[in-house]
Amino acid sequence: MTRMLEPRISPLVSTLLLLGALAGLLAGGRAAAEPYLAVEAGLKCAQCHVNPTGGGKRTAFGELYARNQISAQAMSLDPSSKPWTGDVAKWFATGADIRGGYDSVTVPHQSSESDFALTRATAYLDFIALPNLLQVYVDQKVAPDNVENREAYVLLTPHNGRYVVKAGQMFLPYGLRLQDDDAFVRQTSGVSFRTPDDGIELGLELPKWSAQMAVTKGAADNGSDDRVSLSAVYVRPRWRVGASYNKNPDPLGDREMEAVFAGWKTGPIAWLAELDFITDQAPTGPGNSIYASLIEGDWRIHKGHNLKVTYEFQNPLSHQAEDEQERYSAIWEYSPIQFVQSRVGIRRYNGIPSFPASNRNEWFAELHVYF
Amino acid sequence: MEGSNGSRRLARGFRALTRCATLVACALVTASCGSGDGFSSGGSSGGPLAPTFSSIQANVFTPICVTCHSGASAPHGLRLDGGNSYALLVGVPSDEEPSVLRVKPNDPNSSYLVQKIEGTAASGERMPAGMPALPQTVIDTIREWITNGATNDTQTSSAPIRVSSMSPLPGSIVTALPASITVAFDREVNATTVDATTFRLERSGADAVFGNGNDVAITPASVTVPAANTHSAVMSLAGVGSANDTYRVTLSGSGAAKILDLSGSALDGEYGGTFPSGNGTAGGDFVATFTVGTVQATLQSIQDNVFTPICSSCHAGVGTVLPGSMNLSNATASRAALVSVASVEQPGVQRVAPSNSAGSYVVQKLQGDPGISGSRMPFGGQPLDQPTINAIRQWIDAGAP
Repeated sequence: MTRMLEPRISPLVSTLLLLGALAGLLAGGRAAAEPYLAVEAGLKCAQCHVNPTGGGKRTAFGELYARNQISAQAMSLDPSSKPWTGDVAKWFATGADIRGGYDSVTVPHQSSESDFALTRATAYLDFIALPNLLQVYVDQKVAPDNVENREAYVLLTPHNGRYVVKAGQMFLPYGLRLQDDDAFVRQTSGVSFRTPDDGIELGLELPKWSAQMAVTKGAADNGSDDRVSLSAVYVRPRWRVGASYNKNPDPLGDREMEAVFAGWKTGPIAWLAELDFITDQAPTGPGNSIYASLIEGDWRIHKGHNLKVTYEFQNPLSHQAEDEQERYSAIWEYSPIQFVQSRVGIRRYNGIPSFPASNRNEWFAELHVYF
Repeated sequence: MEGSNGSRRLARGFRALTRCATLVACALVTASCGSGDGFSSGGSSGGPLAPTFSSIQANVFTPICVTCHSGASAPHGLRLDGGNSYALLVGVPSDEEPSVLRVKPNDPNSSYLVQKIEGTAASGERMPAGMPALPQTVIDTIREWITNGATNDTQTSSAPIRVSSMSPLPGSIVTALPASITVAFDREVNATTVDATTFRLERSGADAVFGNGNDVAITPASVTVPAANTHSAVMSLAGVGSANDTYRVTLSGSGAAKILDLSGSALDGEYGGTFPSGNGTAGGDFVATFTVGTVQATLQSIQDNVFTPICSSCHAGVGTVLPGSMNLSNATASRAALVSVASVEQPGVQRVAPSNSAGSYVVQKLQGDPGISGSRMPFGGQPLDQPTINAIRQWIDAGAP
């Protein structure tokens, strides 16, 4: 690298970080597919999500964990009935995530832009054909704009869930399954909640291990060989470490990706880290190497409150000097009850000097309703 | 102040830890993380934004879009790095909306790229995803580049010229021979090498087989490279009679007479079903077919031209579940399976609702309407051309007799 990026945390950012922490201390989280929750609990993703690799509909345990361990109050809407777990009938469970709010973006030398918007509403349907063995799972984006199928697959879990077979459209197993699709490690790898793929996934769920292999058709339906994804994580109560590999053949140049990731706890803080290396081949001429990283600290300040601070770095083009980018985030998450989470956050991007939007500041307030 | 200093220390800690990890890993995995010129303090490598492809690449695609749109995992297969973006944009149908070209030279309003960055596209989210919308001045510059023909000012002689699209689409069925056949190249073509010898059309002689002695060569009215878009070639078929048949388009990339670019590099024409053509080496003919089938607004005509040749391979009246359970193998069976019959996928909608083509599920499936379940039909094949769909709609609107 020919240039080291200068630290650019301004007094305003630092003050907002402090205010976020103080607000958490004075008041007294629940998120969707957030790996830090798994690290915090010392559990695997399959414990709280129907999808063993995380994200989407929560299991009954996941719903109860949100109610009893994460939310400020374990409140029941109807005290005479049992808490909501998503189970509608013996053979059918459902769930949803609805996110919307306000965001403001300031690009250097431009006027600020702000907007209220429904960010995303997704519905989950889980048909249990044979309990603990065979399910049909559907994850559908219903708003905004057009309806979009995100995941739809048959899920087979023989030997009491020791083995997992998925067939259909699914998110690929690779790295940390962060809720934030705009995180550099998600953008650069192209593995996110925006990019499901069609194929089959085989999984192994052992007491301390979770491993998957997926064979899918790939992003470009151009007759190329199938895409292969491998991921494994070793899980201990206070730490975990994992690695992923992805090979995506393509006539215009293959892509290979490797990631190492980890999570650990220090007191009330759950930490996440991921490092991605991506190599794009080219039919003629040099290819490209990309690397991206993330480190995240989630401080459970008080029951119902979480302060998330992240630092991200990426170098998207190996042959291009001075295009490295950084992203700082500080987000306060407040979960008063099982079904509601509010988030207030700031982000600062530090990127290409000549490209103002890569040096923007954002702040946002989001309401997340889920069940 | 104490808190501010503390948060600064925290942020510095994160940064130091990650930077340490990335630097160690970078040293292990990559010998060099960048050299040469690039984004300098004085501006991007492309200079101020101008309505040229190279400038848009340097100022928009590379710094903004490539983060996601690169490599074999690029969303919808759209790579926007400098080596691939032009070939995958200009004249190439959108993956989300195949009836719309990503960039349609001279027509920014009909270009999916513009629709996506302006937030007016029928599918998906506004681009760039997760970022502020592009300033209107930037969008206007991209519009101007497309209005001016969407030419490529970066071509070098090292890469062979390729075919990036053809109209009518390869494999499509059209109701009549079109007035012209248009092919687009990924760079400016040498107009003097494009003529009726290097750009040919023939039909199979009604047997859909070529090379068996009954092929019919078509003599076009003209073959030209329009001055307004020198990345394309147009074969005019004015005065050529239409016959129901399979037609084959050939662009010569080999032999004595072949299509060249301005640097003398021969067409890289091998076509395997996806654009752009080619195998990376100059030379090789581009060969693609389409079918002319005159579909009338009658069930028998639709049966003969659509249901029997296209649909009945899956919808054969076999088994108890879709697609086999729906029998479209002959007109009687098709009527029984379709007219006033509730869809299995959406029981509230009739497959064919007489006099209501818009409310008929078969039309919605053929058009790929947003509300349908499952995939657009024909499954896995080219969508029917609009005249064929219109014929089916006319039959339904007439009461589906």
